[in-house]
Amino acid sequence: MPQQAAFYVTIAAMVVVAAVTMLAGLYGAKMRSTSNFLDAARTLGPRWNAAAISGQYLSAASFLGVAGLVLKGGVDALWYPVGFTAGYVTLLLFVAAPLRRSGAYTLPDFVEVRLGSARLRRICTTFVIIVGWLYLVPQLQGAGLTLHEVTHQPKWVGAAVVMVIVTFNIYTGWMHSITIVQAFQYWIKLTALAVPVFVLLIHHAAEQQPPRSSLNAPSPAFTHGMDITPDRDIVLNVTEPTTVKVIGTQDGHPTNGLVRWAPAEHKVTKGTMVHFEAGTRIPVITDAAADYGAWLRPLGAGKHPLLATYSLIVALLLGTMGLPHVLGRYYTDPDGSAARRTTLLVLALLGAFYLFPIVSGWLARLYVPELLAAGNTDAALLELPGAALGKWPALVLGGLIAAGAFAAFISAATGLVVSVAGVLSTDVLPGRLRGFRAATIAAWSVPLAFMLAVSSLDLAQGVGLAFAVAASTFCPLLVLGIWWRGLTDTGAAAGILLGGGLAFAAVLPAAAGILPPEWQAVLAQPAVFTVPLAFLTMVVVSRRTSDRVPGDVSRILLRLHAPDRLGLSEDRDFGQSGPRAGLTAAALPRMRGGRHRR
Amino acid sequence: MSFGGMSDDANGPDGDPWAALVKAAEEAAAKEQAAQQQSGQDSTIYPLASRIKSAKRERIVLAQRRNSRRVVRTLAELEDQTSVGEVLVRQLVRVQLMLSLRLMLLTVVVLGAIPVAFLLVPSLGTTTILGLGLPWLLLGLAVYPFFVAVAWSYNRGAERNEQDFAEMVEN
Repeated sequence: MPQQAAFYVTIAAMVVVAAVTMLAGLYGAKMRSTSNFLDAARTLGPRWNAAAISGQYLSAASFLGVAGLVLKGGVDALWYPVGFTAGYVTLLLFVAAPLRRSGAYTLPDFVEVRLGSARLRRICTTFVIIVGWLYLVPQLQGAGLTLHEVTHQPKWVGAAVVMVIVTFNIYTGWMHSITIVQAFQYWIKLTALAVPVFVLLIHHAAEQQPPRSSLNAPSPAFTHGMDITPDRDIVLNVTEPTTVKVIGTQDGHPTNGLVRWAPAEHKVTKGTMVHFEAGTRIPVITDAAADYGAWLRPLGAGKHPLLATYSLIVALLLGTMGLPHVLGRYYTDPDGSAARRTTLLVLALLGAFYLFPIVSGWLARLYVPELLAAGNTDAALLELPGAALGKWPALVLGGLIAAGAFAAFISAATGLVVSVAGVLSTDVLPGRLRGFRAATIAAWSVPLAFMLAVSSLDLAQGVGLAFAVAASTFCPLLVLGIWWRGLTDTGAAAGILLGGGLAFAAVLPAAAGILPPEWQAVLAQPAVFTVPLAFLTMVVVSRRTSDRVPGDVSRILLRLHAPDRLGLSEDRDFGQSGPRAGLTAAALPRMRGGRHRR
Repeated sequence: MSFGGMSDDANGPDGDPWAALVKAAEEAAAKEQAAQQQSGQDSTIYPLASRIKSAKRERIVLAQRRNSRRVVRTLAELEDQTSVGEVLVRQLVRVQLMLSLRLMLLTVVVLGAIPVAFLLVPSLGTTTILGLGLPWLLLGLAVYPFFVAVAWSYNRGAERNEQDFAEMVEN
């Protein structure tokens, strides 16, 4: 893409997105005053809230990452969008309505309502922060990538820009997680993706040349001389003798000149420039399917594919309920039934959305297969219009996609930073507004530092790490807390520390990218081991400490499960300043008189 | 809707599990009330009464309810956590949990069977329908309406369980 024009078009598109969002924010600004805020938001209804949940949920991983993974892994990558969506099924079946009725706004709140332990609350807070940070890193990565693709600025610039915007939004409060604003985000993202995909599909159908998508088409070759400079260490699978010009390190040898590669795997170090002549077969990185046929088939790539697939499904299925920015959104549902209806709509909206990144990944395989050589598959969506269309359509559509991508990062990042900062300011840095602002900076500075230091995972995989830790900590907590009266605070703490600790210890080296590839598959998705372990630990330790079961557990369970119309669920006291201040209101019923029986 | 007293309509193939429960509950409650009145306590303080009156429910009542005290008393029992109330809550929780587990199992089995199917029957991986690969149609398209169907089925079932419980309490 011509750099100058692309830059201006993208900026223009982003300004339009920001303007639309700001208008939505102003419209919703009538609901500003604290006590009216939630009541007014609650009159919006499940359709708005579902769009808001989906809008905030569709982050960099969903927008760019899914297309990139489909480009790399073909059918096997489809488990990511399936898993992202299926998490809401689990949430609906086990968590949505009861959690709403508990009156809790955050996960630590729920823990306090259900088990009443301050120490457990602190442990939960720690893991909320861990999960939030793990989820933020890919957002920053995606932002850096997007800006880099469009303007060729170094990656940290995009990340810094997003964080500045997020901080500004949070400080001024005008774009602050309002339901209407987030609902608009969903429709903006959907449009930003659907329009280019439709155009590209029409273009593809109208192509005169022999179809690229035929199974008998030869493996793609570079159409013109191209330089590849990977931003991480990669291993290329070369299928025929290839001569390349290398400046840097390949196969461990510092090289400056022509090299003849035999058909084998060849290591290329980060930052090395490799120049391929026109007509050379495109080698692919080893964790991608080698040819189009393999790419179309399931289980085509990677070692231990079946176990990794199942572990990923477990993590995604069970981790959604543990993401910090998901639960708070249910607070704008007036009651448990509305929470259920909302979740059903979320499933429909997500399903409608994911069709487009999937189709994009397929188109990318046809039009930009050289990304497979660079290992830079996350850029698939951004590169696609330029590779397939003429100059001006590519500019416009590319700008649209970039704007949508930025909308994705900003909305997800805002939601995450608000959640993490909220938890930080309530539990770690006490004090009202000033504490919250300081917490905001703290909330993103650590992920930013991490992202700058290491940048080696694909976006969707990076997000998968957050899911794995969330699934190993908050899923057992929520499921057992809502459905089992025998849970004790000691049991919950033991399960969270063990499951979450192990999951975090496993994913951290994977996130840092310091693992050899064989270990990567196993450790990057530990959920299939850590989740059952966490459940088991919670149950066993709770049984052992059964004297610590809260005395009013029956009343709490009643509150969680009784139908809304009986009026038994407690809500936070909004008379005070904001939802988070109303902790005592939630604790009140437990101090009421009445007989306590186990 | 009922005209007072217990609802007589059958609640599905299980019959009416609540009826037997409530009968037992009434007997136990009668005993408890007798015991309380002996000890001088009046358990008939109904903190919920005002809340019930102010709840925004609209119901058309075609006849005066004969046992309105029972409504409030049952709710009070739920709130005060008598053994009666506890039994009712346990039953509700169990019914809801069974529903959730059933649907979760269905989802997991369907999702989990897909990789295994492709492993055991490799030809499935290359089958095409209307020119599109079967694995793509399954995982990229068909699962999403399946999720929505599961969700819709759950919502219906959960609402019905809750309605049964509420009606039982109110009648």
